[in-house]
Amino acid sequence: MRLSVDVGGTFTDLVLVDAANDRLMVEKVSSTPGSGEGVIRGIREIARKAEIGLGEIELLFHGSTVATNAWLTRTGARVALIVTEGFRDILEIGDQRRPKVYSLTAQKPVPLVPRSQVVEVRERLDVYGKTVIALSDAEIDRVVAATAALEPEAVAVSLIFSFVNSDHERRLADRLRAALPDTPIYLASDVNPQMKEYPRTNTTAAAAYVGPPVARYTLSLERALGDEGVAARLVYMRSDGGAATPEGVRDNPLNMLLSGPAGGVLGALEAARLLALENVITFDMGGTSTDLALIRQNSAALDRSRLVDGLPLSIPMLEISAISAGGGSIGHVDPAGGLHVGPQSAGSTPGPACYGRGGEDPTLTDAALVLGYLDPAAFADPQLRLSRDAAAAAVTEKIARPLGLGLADAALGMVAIGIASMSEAVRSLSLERGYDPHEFALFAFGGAGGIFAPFLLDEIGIGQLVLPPHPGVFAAMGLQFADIRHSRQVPFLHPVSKVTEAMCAEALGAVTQELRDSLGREGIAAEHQKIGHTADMRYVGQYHELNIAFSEADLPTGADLAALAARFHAAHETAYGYADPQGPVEIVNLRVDATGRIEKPKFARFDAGASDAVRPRGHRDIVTELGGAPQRAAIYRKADLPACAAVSGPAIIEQEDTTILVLPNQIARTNEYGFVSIKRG
Amino acid sequence: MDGPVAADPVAALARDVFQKRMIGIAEEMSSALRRAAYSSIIWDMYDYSCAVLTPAGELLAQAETIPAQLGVIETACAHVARKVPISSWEEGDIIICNDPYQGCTHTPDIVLFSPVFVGGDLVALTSTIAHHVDLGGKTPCTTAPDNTEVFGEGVIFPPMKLLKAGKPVDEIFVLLANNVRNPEACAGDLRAQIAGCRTAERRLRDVVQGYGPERFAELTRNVLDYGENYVRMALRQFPNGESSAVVRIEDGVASSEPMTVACRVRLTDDAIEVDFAGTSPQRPHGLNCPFSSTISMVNYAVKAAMSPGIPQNGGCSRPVRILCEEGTILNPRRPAAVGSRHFTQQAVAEAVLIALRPFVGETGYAGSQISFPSLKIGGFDTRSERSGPEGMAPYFTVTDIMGGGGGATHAGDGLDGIDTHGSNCAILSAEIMELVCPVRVLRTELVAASGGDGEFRGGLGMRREYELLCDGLNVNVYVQQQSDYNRSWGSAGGGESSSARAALDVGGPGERALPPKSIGLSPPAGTRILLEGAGGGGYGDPARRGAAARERDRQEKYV
Repeated sequence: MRLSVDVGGTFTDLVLVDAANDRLMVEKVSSTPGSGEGVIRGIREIARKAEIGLGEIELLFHGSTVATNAWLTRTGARVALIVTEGFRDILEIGDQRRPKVYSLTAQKPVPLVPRSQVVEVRERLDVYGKTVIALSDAEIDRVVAATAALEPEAVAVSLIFSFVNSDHERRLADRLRAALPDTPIYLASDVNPQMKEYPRTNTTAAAAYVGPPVARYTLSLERALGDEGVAARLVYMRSDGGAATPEGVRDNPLNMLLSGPAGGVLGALEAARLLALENVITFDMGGTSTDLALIRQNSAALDRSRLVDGLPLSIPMLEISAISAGGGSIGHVDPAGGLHVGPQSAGSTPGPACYGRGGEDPTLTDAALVLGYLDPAAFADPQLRLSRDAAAAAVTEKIARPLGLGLADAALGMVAIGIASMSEAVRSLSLERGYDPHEFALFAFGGAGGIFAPFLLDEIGIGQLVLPPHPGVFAAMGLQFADIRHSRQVPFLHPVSKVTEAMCAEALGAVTQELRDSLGREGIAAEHQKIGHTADMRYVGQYHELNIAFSEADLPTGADLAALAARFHAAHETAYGYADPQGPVEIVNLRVDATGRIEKPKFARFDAGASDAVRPRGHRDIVTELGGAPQRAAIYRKADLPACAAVSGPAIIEQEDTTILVLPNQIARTNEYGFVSIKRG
Repeated sequence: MDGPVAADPVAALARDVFQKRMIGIAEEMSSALRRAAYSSIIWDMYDYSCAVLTPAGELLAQAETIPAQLGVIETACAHVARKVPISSWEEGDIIICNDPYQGCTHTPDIVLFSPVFVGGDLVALTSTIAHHVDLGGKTPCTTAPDNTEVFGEGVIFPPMKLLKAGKPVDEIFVLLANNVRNPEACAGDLRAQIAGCRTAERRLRDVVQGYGPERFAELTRNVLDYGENYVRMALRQFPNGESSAVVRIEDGVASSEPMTVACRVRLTDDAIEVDFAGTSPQRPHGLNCPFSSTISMVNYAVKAAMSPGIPQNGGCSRPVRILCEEGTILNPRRPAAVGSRHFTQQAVAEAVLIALRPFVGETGYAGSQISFPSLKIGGFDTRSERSGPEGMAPYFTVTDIMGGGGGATHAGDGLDGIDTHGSNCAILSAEIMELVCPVRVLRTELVAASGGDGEFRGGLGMRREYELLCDGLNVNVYVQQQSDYNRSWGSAGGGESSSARAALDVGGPGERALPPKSIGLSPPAGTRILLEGAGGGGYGDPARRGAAARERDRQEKYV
C-alpha cells in the first residue's frame, strides 16, 4: 500500500493507493504549518476510513512546504555567511535593480542573512583559479572565531571564483567543522558551483537558511511516524520532480524548496502517457496562485535558476511558472474605472468574502459563486458553507457599483480579467520556448482548475482540456510517480571543440560512481539505476546556457561529443529562433542525474455509476457571457457518470474535491479511468 | 476620488482584458530579446526596452525595464515617420534609427521599429531599443563627456530600413561592422532586437485576427483614453498651483560652472505644464540632453510622483505639456554632443520631482542619487590565458554602471544600492567582469552613513574598487554629485545625503581624488580605482526615527 501526503498552505491532501484491492482513497485535512501534526492526523484519518493498520503502508511519499514557508516568512535559520573580503553586501545589493521602475516606495526583498551576520575573509582567487591573496592559517583562525561568536545555526561559505577552485572554501570548512561540530556548513562549491557571485551566494545562503528547519521538521516527523507504528519507507519530494531519502533531503535541503508544485507535474506526465497526449500544459490553480508547466514529448523541462520571491535561486527545478491568480485573487476598480484582479489575494484568512470569515473583498471564488458555478453547500471543504449573499455583496459594493454594471457582468468581468492573465501566462510559457500552444492539451487540476480552465479553451484556442479523476488532490496523487533522484553539477569551462572523452571521464567518473553508490545504499538495485549526463552550453561570448543531454551511454563517448555541438545549435534555433552553426560553442558545466526507479502505481479503472443513463441531479442558473441571460445548467454528480459518458454544456459536474464547469458549446466526456475531457462541441 | 461610470461598462471590461494582452506581448518581446542577446549589457544588465505602438505611433503597451528608453519611443517614432513615411513600410521591414536629433536618445541606444499587417492593413507597430556596448567613436563604449559634436559619438543611423521585406540590407551591416569595436556583439544584439520585434509581430497578427481589425483599433483607442483618463483623475487630486525647482550638476568638462536644470510646474485641474525656462544654454560637451530624453524623464517623474499605479501608455502623457527652449542643455541644437546625457537626464527627473513635491503633500519623497557612477574601459587584454592564436591579445570594451541610494519616502527608508530613475540596470557581476576583461573588482559594498538622516533614512550609496590587470588600457571614470550643492536632497525635515567621490591609485603612493569626469586615463597595471556614488536624501524629522530603527541601523552598521 502506498500513501502520499502533500502539504499545502491551507490543506494537507492524502491519497492512498491500495493496488491489491484496486482502490484509491483521498483525504483532506487542515495543514499545521511547521509541524508534522496535520500529516499524522491525516494519516490516522485515512487509515481509519480505509480500515487498514498504519503498519500496512509500505511506501510513503511526502511533499512539504516547510522550506518554502521558512523562506517566504523569513523564519529560517540564523545563518553566518562567509564571503571574500570586499563583498559583505552581496546580498544587500543584489543586482541593484528596483522592483518597480515607476514606484518611489516599492521595497526590495529582505536578504536571507542580515549584514551583521556576514563575515569577510581575506583571500582572493583569480578567474583562472590561481591565488591572488593566499588564505593564511591565522586568517582562518580569525574567521572561525568571528563566525562562532555569531552563534549560527548554519554556516554558508561563498568565496569569489570558488567554482573554479574550491581549495579556500574547503580549508575553511574543515576548520569550521572542527570548531562547530554540530552546525551544518554549506559551501558554494558544493551547492551551486557556478559563475556569478550574487545568485551563487544567495543560493548557498538559502541552503543554510532552510537546512535547519528542514532537518527539524523531517526528524520530528520521522519520529512521530515511528511512534505511530508507520514502518513505511519514506521519501520526500524534490523541486526537480525526483524524490529524496530522508538523509538525501537533509544533505541537500534546497532540493525541497520548490517541491510544492512538482507532484502535479509528475502526475500529469504519467496521465499524459496513459492518455497518449504528447504535449500538455499543466494548469494547477489553487487559492493564491496558478502554476503552469509545459510537457513536451512526454517530458517536463528543468529550470536551472529562478527568482523566488524576488531572490535568485540556482538549483535544478521543474520549469514551472507561477502567476498570482487563484481562487482568492481580489478584484478591485481603479479611479479611472479600470478593473484589476490580483496580485493581492485573500488567502485562507480571511479568505474570500463568501467564507464569512471577515473578508470583504470580492475574489474570483466569490465571482464563481455569484455566477452559479459553485454550489454553496458542496464546496471542497466540508466545514465550510459558502455564503452567496456575502459574495454578491462584495462584488456589488467593490466592482458592480463603481463600474455601473449589473452583478453578473461585474463577476464575469473579474473572471475575464483573471482568465486574461492566465492565458497570457500559458501563451508565453509555450511561445517563449518556440512552441505553438495549439499543439498542446491543457491539463487542469487544483481546487479551482475545473471552474476556470474551461474558459481558456476558447481564449487560447487549445483543442482539449483534460481533468484527472480527483483534481483537488491530484498533486498529492502525483507524488506517487516520483523516482529517487540525485544530481550534481561539475564546473567544466572548455570550448566544445577541445573536449575529449578522457576529459569527460575525469570530470564525471568519480561523481557518477558516488551517485551510483548513494542509490545502492538506498536499496536501488543496479538494474533500476539510470544515469544521465548533460552539459550546460553556450556560444562563446554569450552569458546564458542551454542544457543539452548526452546520449544514454554511461559516460559521454567520442561520438556523443561530436554530436553535441549540432544538438546545441538545434536547441538554440528552437529556443531563440536562430542559430549560428559556425559560431564557437563552449561547455560551462557538466551535470549528472542519477535516478533510482521506484515501482509506479497505475491509474485505477473507473468504477462506473449505477446507471448508464446520464441523469442530472438538478439544475441551476449560471451566467457565462457578458451581458448574457442566465442559462439553465444541468448539475451532475461525477460519481453518477458512467465511463464514456458525454455531457453537453452548459453543465456542472460536482465531486467531493472540486467542481467542473462545462460551458455552452462545450462537451465533456468521461473515460474509463475517470478523466474528464472537455472540447468545443 | 469617484470613478466615472463608463458610457459602456461592458466595453470597458473588454478594454481591460485587451490591455493585459498587449502588455503580455510586450513582456514576451522582452524575454525573446534578452534570451537572444549577445552582450552582458543586455543579458546581465537589462539595458534594453520593448514596446507595442498604434499605427499612429502612440505607445500602446511596454515591458517595464528602462524608463528613460521607453519614454523616447513615441518621439523617435514621430521623427522616423517623417523621414520614412509609415505608408512606405512593408511586411518584414525593420526600420532603424539612433539619431539624437531625430527623436532618439544617445547613439548607443539603437531604436528599431517594424510594422504589423493583417490582410494588407497596418494594425500596429513594434519597437525595441537596446544599448549597444560600442558604436565606434573616439573612446571605447562610444560616449565621452568631452565630445563637442555628435559626429564624435560613433555611427549615426538616420531613419532607414535595416531589413526590407524580411531581407537584410547587407551594406548597412557591413558598414556597421567596420565602424564598431566589437562587430560580433553589435550584430548579435541587433539580431536579438529583431527577434523581439518578430515575436510581437507574430503575436499581434494572431490577436488582431481574433478581434478583427476594426475592433482591435477601437480597443486600442480605448486603452489610450483610459491611460489619459487615469492620469487626469490622479492630477485632479492635487491642488492647482505653481512650483519651481533648480538642480545644479557638475560640468567639469566645458566649464567650471555647474549646469542648471530649472523647471517650473503649473498644475491646472487635470493638466500639467512643465517649463524649463532658466535652464543653462547648451554647452560644448556630451552632457547635453536630447529633447526626446527630456520629454522621457518628465513623463517618468510625473508618473512616479503622481500616478505610479497603472501601466504606462501614450494616453498617460497627453495631459503633460513640456516647454523647453531650443539651444539649452535640455533641447540642444545639432550638432551638439549628447552621448553622456544620462548625467543630465537624471537631474531632469530630480528637478521635476522637487517641483512636484509641494503638490503631493503627505505622500512625499526625498531625492535619490543621480551620481551615475560609471566606468568605461577598452584596450587589449594581454593576460596570457586570454591570448588567441599566434599570441594575439583580444581587444575588449566594458561598461560598468553602479547604483546608489534611493530617496526615503513617507512610506519608509530609501532603498540601499539601487540604480535610480531613468535607469534600472543590473550591476555587472565581478566574476563576469574579470572573465571578459582584465579588470578585477576588489570590493562592492554599501557606504555606511551615506544616506540622509530622517524619520526615514535615505538609502545608502555604493562603492566599487577595481584593479587594472593590464597596461595600456583606456580608462574613463565618471561620478557626479561630488560637490556640496549637488547632494541628494532631504525632504520634510530629513537630511541630505553624503557626497559621491572617485579616486585613483587607491592605497598606492599616488592616491588622488578624481573629478566628476576623468577621460582617457591610462594608468599602469596594478592601479586601483574607486567609484563611490551618493546616498539618498532622508525624509521627515530625524527626531521621529523610532528607537528600533536606530538600533537596527547601529546593529547592521548602516550608519
